[in-house]
Amino acid sequence: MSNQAADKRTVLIETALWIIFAVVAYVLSFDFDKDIEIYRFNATGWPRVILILTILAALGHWINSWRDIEHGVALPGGDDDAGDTSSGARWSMLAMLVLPLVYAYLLQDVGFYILTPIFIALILFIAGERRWKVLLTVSVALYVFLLLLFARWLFLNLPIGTAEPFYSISNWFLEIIRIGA
Amino acid sequence: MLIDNFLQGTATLFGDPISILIFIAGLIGGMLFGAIPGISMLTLAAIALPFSGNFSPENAIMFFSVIYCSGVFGGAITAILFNIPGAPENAPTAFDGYPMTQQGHAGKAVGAAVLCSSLGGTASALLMMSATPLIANWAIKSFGPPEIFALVFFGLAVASSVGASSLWKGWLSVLLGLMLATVGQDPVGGITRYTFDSYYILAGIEFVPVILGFFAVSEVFVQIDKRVKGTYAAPRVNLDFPSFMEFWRLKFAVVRSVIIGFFAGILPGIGATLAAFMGYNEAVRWSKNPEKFGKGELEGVVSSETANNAATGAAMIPLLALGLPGGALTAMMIGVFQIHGIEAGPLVFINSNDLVWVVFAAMFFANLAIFFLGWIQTKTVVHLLRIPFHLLAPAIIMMSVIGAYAKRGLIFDVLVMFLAGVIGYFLRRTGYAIPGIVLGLILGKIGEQTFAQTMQIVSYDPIELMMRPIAGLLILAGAITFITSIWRAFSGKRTI
Repeated sequence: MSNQAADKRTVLIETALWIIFAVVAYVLSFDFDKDIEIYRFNATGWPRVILILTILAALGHWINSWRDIEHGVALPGGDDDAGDTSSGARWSMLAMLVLPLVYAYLLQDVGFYILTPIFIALILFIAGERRWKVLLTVSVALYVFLLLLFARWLFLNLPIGTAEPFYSISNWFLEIIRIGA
Repeated sequence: MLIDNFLQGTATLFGDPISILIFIAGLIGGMLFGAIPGISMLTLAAIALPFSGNFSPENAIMFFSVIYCSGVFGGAITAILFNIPGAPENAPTAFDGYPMTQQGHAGKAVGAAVLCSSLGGTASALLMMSATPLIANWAIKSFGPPEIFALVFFGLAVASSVGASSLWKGWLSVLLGLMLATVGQDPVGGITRYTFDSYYILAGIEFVPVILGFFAVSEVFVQIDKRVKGTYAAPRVNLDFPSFMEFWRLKFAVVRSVIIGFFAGILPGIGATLAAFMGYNEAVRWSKNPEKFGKGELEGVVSSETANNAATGAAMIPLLALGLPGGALTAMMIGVFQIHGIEAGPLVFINSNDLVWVVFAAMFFANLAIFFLGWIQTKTVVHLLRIPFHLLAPAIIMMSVIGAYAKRGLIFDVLVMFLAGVIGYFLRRTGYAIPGIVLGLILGKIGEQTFAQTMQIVSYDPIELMMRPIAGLLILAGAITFITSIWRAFSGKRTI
């Protein structure tokens, strides 16, 4: 596929995604389309105007980009870099994007105190740190710093987990951290 | 008379070792708490509130006003060095401050932030001292919801030109931010919108997790992406302050931002956050090279930091002259007044003149102290950039996690932050503007609320709205900016 055709397809997909987003949000706005006695535009007026403007801006983006492509003007890009696009690099990035979401999901049950050192070590590993001494030192040092600053000195109540045995372990651990505080 | 009062306030402030200690504690505490995301100066103020009864009234109010000055500045350093705004009012500082760090100009960016925070705050303190009752009465009478709505409209008109790869992507970013701001209850009837029966977002999407996700987390993703692809280049560490000539070229930006910040600070509910965004927007609008903003323009840092600190002194004007708090911290100060049995308002100048002038003197000297403490910070904190980014990444992520969680104690906010980070990563890869989204989110809430109030005030008559001189002028100027940018986009002249 030529660059021009690929660019056109990208712009078309982008425009379609914006329009789908706006249409879906517009349809959802009927859920709260109720009269407000003191306000003529109700709760729907403001978001619907924004959504209509979104569709117009998406079409403007499509028309302008299409014209630029036809005239052979390169489309301005974002932070996307060239470089290694091997499957290894892609998997590493995918893992980096998914890992925090998994961490946030497990935080409720497992708690901050048990999950965090593992999470820190995994971020370092995905980011390319393979020296186990550095990995261990940085993970432990950062973890201790966070515990001292937030749990001991600022007395911030971080999640202790709801599932056993994590809940009991976290409570016991927290008691140790706060000895003498 | 003015000088006598000021000298009297200064003598009271520095004549008592306890007052000096409280002043230093407020200064350093505000800076530290302001720099940690989620743990803002408000946290420190809330912790200190119950103990303020043990201080003398002068020291208690002085402590809170010093926290306000240094706290607004504190978040600028992390915004510039790591793309982590300590508080929403430092978000526009990150727009250009962080790109400057990546280009090896961290020293210049931090130096500019230090000097301009100090300048903005000091100028604001001087204005506050010279004309508090006069300005308060004028501002409160002249600026109603129609004028504030017009101000927001005027600000939004230029928002599309910040940081996106094309005008349309800039607009789509702003519109996405405006849509995110509609989540939660509508400002008139309290009807829930787009909450999907989740009570966590009934009051809307929290700013702090979204800002941390879009700025800090997405930045970590972008940099790690570069590392795994082998295209990462570490920023050079440079401790150079901006030269006198560089500052002199920005003199109009500083003066403009002082004026914007000062008036934004006076208006209840506007405060330092909107002041910073407005200051930044106007810098873009007035610049001969608006395409440079969002990519490491010193004027962006200068405008944002001058404006947000200029708002601090101004926020004291309605508080002291009318007993009207403009934001959360000034509302806490009303509480301090009450603890000490003092009623804030016009009578405070007659009944507690000493207290007023101790506060004025403390704010003046706190802003001067920011310059010296900030200078030390510039020469020390910037060295953190020597640590390889992949070792800093977990620290940035964990500070963000705690910052997002601390505000409401909800794991949901941590999830929102990471989702914002992932979305921000993809939007940045495709040329959309994170500053635009954040501008839309911040201005959207206040924009809709003031629009609804305006419509009721002018009985839905646009002509009546345009007949109000300030509102009419701002809407007209915003409309011209908007139409011009659309025309330029269609005529093929790139504005970005």
